[in-house]
Amino acid sequence: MKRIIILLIIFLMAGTVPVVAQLTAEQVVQKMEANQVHETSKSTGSMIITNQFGTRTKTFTTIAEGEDKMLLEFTNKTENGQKILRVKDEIYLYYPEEEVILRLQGGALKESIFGSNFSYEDLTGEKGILSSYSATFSTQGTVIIDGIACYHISLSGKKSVSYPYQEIWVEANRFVLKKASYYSLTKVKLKELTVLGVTQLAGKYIPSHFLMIDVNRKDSKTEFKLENMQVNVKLPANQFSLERLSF
Amino acid sequence: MKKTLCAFFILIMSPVVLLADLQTSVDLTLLVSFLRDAAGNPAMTFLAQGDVGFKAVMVPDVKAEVVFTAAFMDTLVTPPEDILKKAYIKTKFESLRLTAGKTRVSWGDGFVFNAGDVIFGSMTPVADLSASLLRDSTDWMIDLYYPLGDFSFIETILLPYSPLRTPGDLLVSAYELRYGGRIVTKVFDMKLETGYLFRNDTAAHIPYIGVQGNLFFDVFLNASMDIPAINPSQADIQNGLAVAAGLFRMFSFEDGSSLVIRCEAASYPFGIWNETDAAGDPLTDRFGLLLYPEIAYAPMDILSFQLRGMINPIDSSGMVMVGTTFSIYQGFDILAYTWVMYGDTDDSFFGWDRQGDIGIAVGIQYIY
Repeated sequence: MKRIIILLIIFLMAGTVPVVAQLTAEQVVQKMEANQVHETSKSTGSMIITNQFGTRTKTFTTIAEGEDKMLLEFTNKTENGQKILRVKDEIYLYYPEEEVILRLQGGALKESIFGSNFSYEDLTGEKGILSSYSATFSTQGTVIIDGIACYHISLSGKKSVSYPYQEIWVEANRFVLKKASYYSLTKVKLKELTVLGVTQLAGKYIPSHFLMIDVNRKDSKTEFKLENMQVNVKLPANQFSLERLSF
Repeated sequence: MKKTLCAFFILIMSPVVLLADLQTSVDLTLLVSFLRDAAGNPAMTFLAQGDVGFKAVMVPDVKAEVVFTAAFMDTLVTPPEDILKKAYIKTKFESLRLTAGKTRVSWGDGFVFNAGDVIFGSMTPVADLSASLLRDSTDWMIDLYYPLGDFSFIETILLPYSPLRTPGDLLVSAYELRYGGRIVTKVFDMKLETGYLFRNDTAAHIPYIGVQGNLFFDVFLNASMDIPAINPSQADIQNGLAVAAGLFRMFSFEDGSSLVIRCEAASYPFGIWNETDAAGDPLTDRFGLLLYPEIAYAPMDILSFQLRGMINPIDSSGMVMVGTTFSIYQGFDILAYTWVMYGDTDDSFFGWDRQGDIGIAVGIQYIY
């Protein structure tokens, strides 16, 4: 009888023990990053910036390698030919009209890109999340977001980062980012990111349509869409260089 | 009949195919200014300035662009040789890049003052502080660019047309050519750039060196020497020394607003440090110090206010401009600014009691 009771307890416990018991928060983040980071990638895209005065659309092409190399070129009229190159912690901007390259360091990385709700750092990503943040579960088990079970994880910056605190919600089945909230050092919410669309490619689930809301800007939001995505494509040599940037 | 239809179809489609490989752009600015004329009477000007550009996008390793520019104030005010602003082909080969035609290269660092800009020269004051680009001169050139790594390269340049020559001469004397090169690399966390231009037209060697890095502000420092090629005296060498430095930083606030602080300085260390030594001639006066301070505040993405100045502390003259830009639609801006000069009437660059010493301008700009 005792055995049966113990087995029953174990059985009942197994039913209530969240999936968290099987995966640590770090492992969830790693699996999410595996979906988001590719050896190489190439795509076109658009940023749709909406504020109280209307909507502006910026289009671009982008290539990336790993987690810290990216080259983005705007293709819409007003910024046509302007490029952003990110290599590790440095960002270079190229303005074709003046044929000039500007090197951004320090605080400039946190600036909004052409009035959008994305900063240069948001757009170009950060190096491996776990190298900059410690991760813990905010909620035991999973929570339901838009009908999908998600892990709810808190990230605390281990060093100087754009957002000292983050909350992320990661789909439990596909390990895809579902939602994120970004906080200042004083834990004031700065931005909210929602993943609106996911593309399945090369056996991965890749977030490809985002909505970023800067909670401090009234009636302001930015949609970011990636289209014609290709991953693990062969890129010509020296794509992430000053030579390529200024061509 | 089928053949005729086919030929007709090909004929009407061909411009479409051609246009598909061509990007066009138009940048049009209309500006009304109210200012004081030389006699102190109120006056008005109307300026229409436009750029029309065509860019070929057919082959990834070849780029070509043609840009025409013209400014009208009742009549054409753009010099005929400047109407063609850009006309170049840029080609990438295996290990080098060739740019040939009329375009711009940016040597050195600096938004307004740049001693490293030995090709176009960026050590004199800018009269129009309202422009988004304060230095955008172009020239005919043949430019070769050799990458030495992701962040290092060597560039060599040949400029056939001297700015001193009379426009219209078809033959270029070999004694007017300008040529040189530069090397750009990264040392630790700083950009290091050094180069040299030989000016046959003025018979001068112009070496320069510059560094750029970050010390809370993005900072740069560069220096050049304009050394006569023939029998330079110590005074010639000293007079040719030019130094520029600047700092820049953008601050973002949690309410979405941003603030830009920029300050640049140009100096001829052996130049004019005493107002009485100045001749009042903007072409020959090389002052010991010129300053360009700028503060720009954008309470929201589409609205910004700028305060810019061009200050000559040696003769206590200068110009201050306050402006605003309201980007109401994509590509469409409303501009308004006002300016005032101060200083003596006979000061070199700016002064009170001269044409345009005070004014206000409003306008619109559309890029499409």
